[in-house]
Amino acid sequence: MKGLKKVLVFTALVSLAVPTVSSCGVAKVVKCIGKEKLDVFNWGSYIDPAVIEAFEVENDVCVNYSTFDSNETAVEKLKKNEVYDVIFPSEYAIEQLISEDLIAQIDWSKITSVSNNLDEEANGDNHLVSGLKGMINSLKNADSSVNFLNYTVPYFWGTVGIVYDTTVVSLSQIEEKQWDILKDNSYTLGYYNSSKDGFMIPLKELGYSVNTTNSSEVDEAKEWLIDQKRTLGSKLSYVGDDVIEDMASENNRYDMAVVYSGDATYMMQENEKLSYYKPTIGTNVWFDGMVIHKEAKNVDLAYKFINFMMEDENAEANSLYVGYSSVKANIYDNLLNGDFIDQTASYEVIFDKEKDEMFRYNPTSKKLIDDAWADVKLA
Amino acid sequence: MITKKKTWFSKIYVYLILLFLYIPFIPLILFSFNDSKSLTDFTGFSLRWYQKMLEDKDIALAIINTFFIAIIATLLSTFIGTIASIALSRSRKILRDIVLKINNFPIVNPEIVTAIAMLLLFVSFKIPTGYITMLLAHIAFCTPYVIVTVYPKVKSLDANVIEAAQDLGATPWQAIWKILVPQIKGAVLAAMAIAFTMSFDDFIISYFTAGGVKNISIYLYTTKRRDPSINALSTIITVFISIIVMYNFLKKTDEEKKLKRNGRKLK
Amino acid sequence: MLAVKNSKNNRKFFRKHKIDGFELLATPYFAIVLILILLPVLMIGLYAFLGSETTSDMIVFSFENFVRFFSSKENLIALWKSLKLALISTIICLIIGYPFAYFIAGASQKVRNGLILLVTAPMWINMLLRVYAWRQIFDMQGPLNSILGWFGIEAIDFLAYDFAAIVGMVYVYLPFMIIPIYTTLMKIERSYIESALDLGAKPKQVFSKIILPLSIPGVLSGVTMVLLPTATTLVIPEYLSKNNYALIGNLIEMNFKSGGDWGYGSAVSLILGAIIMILVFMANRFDRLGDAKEKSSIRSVKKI
Repeated sequence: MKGLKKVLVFTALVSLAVPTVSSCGVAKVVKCIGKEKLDVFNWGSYIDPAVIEAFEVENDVCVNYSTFDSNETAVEKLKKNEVYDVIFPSEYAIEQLISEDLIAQIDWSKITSVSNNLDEEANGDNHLVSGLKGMINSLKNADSSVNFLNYTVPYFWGTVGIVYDTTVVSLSQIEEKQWDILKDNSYTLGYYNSSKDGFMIPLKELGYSVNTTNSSEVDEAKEWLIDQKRTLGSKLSYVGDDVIEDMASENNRYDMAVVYSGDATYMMQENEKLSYYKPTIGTNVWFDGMVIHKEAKNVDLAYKFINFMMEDENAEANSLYVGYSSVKANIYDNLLNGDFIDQTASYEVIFDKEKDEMFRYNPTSKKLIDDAWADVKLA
Repeated sequence: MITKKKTWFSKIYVYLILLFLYIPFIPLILFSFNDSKSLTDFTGFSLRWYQKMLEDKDIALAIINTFFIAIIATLLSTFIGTIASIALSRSRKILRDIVLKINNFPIVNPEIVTAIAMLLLFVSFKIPTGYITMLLAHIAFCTPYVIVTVYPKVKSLDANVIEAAQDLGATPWQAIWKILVPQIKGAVLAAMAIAFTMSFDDFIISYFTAGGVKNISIYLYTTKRRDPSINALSTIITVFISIIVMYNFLKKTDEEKKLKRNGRKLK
Repeated sequence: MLAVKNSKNNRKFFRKHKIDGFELLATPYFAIVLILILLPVLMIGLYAFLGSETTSDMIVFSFENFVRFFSSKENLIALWKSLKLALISTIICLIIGYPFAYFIAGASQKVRNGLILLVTAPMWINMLLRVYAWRQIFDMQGPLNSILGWFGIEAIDFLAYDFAAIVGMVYVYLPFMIIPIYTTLMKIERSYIESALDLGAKPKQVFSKIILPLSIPGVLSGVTMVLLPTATTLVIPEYLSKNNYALIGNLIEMNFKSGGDWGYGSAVSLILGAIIMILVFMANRFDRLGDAKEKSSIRSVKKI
C-alpha cells in the first residue's frame, strides 16, 4: 500500500508539474518578470502570435495580452478603471472612449509605418486603402470635428454578411431575398447573440438607420426578430464566436450564419463548401483601430507597438493569420489578388455610401436596442 | 438498509448511476487524443493537442491563476472561518443564532446575485477589478462554507475539557491550541477541501469580479477555440483530481486498517 | 502552590475577559460579513430603487425598475420557464438520488466510503468542462447520435429541446441531492429499525413509517441545494441549448455584462433573491413539519 501511495503522489506531482513547467506556457510567464511590459487589450485571435513574439524579442519587452469578446465588454472594463496601453476597439467604441476622455490623441509625427493622408486619390507608400479613407472622410464631411485619425491608427476593416453552405443554399436565393433569407425556415442559422449586430440586420432590411433613435423603427425591427425566432424555431441558434469553428469544419453546423467578413475568410479557407455574400440592401461596414489609453503607463512602447503592427511585413502576417482585411492599400491589394484570391467575396471591402453604414456612438439608440433585444430573447 | 441483503437490483442501480456520472469523461478524454481538430470524428491517435495546450501562454496563466487564488482563498477563509467558529461556540445564544442565520444567506443566495453584488460594491468604491477583488470575492463566498463545516464540530466538543485544562493551569490560548484544535482537525481539513473546490470551480462570481484576470473557467467561457486542446486541458485536470481523490481514499482506508489493528492489539 | 495561585488568576482572567478574548476571534469574519456580504446587498438595493431621473447631484428613488419587470409578460414567462426547468431537474434528481443514497447507506463501510468518494469526485472538476463534455455528446455528429445511427435512427438535434439542458442540470447537481439524503439516512438510529423489526414490522412499514419520515430533512436539504442553483443557472442552458431564449439569470446578466441598465438588473436580482428566500422559508417550515413527523414516527415505533 505504501509503495502504491508513493507512486500516486509522484504521478500527482508530475501531472501538476507538466503544465506548470511546460515547454513554453509558464516559462514564457516567468521570463517576463523584470522586463518592460506593454498591456495590450484586443479581440481574441486578432494578431499573429509570431508577430507579437517578434516585437517582444526586438524590443526585449513583454506583452501582456488581454482579450475581450465585444466592444461593450471592453468599454465597460475601461470605464471600470482598468488601464491598458494599447487597445483595439471598433470605430463606434472609439467614439465613446473619446467622449469618456479615456484615450489620448495620436501624435502622427511618431507614426512611421502608415500615413494619415486622407486624399482618396493619392496612393503613396504606407497609405490606407482608398475605401477606408472614404469612410473616414464621409464622417468628417458630415461633422468636421469628427476625424477618427486624430485618435486612432486603423488596424483591420471589413463588412458583415452571410456565410452560407453553397450545397444547400444558392446565391440567387440570397440575392433575391437579401436579409429576409434569414427568416427562411428551410435552413439552419447561426445568428449573433448581440443586440447591436442582431438589430443591424432588420433595420437595414426595413430601410432604417442602424443608429436610429426612433422607437417605432426599433419596434418594427423587434417584430422582425421575434417573427424570425417564431418561424425558425429550433433552427435558429444565437451564437458567439463559437460559430467560427462550427462553420469552419467540413460538417458545418449551420447552413447559414451572419458573420464578420474576416471570420468568413477564415471559414471559407477551412471549408470549401462555403461562400460569402454582402447584401446589397445595406449592411454594417466597420473598422477597428489601435488607440492609446490616456493613462497608458508606457506611451513610447505603445507607439513602437503600433508602428510595428503597421509595418508591411507584420500587417501582411496579421491579415494572413486572422483573415481580416488589411487597412494598408498595398497589402490589401496584394492579398486580395494573391493569397486570398479565392476569398474575394469576403476579403474585398466595399463601402456603399448610400446603403452601408458604420455604427456611431449613440447612447439613446443603444438603450432602445438593448431593451428591445432583451424582449426578443424573452419572447 | 433495512435488511443486510444486497439485492442485485440495488447493485445494478448504483452502477448505472455511477456510469451516468462518469460517462461524459469518456468522449472528453478520448477526443483529447484525436489526430484531427474534430470533436466528433476520431481520425487517429495524436498528442498534438497536449502539445498545443502546453505551449499556450493563456492556458498556463489561467491554470496558475486558478491555483493561486484557490490556495490563498482556501487558507484565508479556513483560518477566518475556524477562529470565527471557535468564537461563536463561546458566545451568547442570541448572537450565535443571528450570526448563523446571516451565515446561511450567502450560501443560499444565487451565485449571479452574489456576483453582481460584489461588482456593484467594487465599482461604487472605485476599486479596480483584478486579482485583489477576485481574491476578496472568493474569500467571501468560501468562508460561510467553512463555518457550516467547522462550527458543528466545535459545538459538539465537550466544553468542560477546556475549562478543566484551564483549571489545571493552561492559558486560554494553550487550551485552544493544544486541546480544541486537534479535535476539530478533521472538520477543518474537510472545510479546506470544500473551500478549495468552491474556489477552483467557480465561474460566475469570478467572471464579474476578476477584471482582466482569467481562471480556468473564465478562460473556457471566453475562448474562441473549440478544438480538442480544451479536451486535453480537461483530461489533465481530471487525472490530477483523480489522483488526489484516490490518494485520500487510500490514506483513509489505511488509517482505518491501522485503527482496526490497534484495536485488536489492545485486546 | 504557585500553580494553584496562577490557575486562580487565570480563571478570574478568563471569566472576566471571557467575552473579549474569544469573541475577538470572530472579528475578521464579521468584517467580511459586513463589507463583502451585507454591504454589497445594500448596494443592490440602492441601485434597484434608483429612479431614472437620478443625476450626479440628486438621487431619486422610485419603484420604476420593479414596475418595469412585472409589467412585461415576457419577464414573467421567463421566470416561469426558469422555475419549470429547475423543478423538473430537481424532481428527477430526487427520484434518481434518493434510491441511490438509500442503497449506499445499506452497504458496508468500506464500500460506502468508496461510493461516496466516487459520487463527490466529479464535483471537483470544473463545471464548465463537464457541461462542455455534454455539449460534445449531444452534438449532431456526436457519440449519442452515432449510437442512434447504429440502430437506424436518424440523428436527433438534442440541443433543440429542453432535454439537453435538463440532463446537464441533473448531471451537475445530482451529487448535491445524494449527499444530504445519504447523511441524514446514516444518522437514523439503527436501534429504531432493529426494534421495529423485532416487534414484527414488515420492511415496507419500517421504510414508510420510520426511514422515510426521518429522511425528510435530508430530502429538503437536497431539494434546496438543487432547486436554487438550477433556477438561477446561466451556463448550463447556454451551452446545452440553441441559446435562443432567456432565463431569469440571463436577464440579470444581460444588464451587467456589456453596459445595460444596472438599476434594472439590480431590481431583477432583488426579485429573484426574494423568491429564493420565500422558497427557503417554506422549506424551513416543512422541515419543522419533519421534526413533528420524527416525533410521530418514534411514537409509531412504540405502538408497534
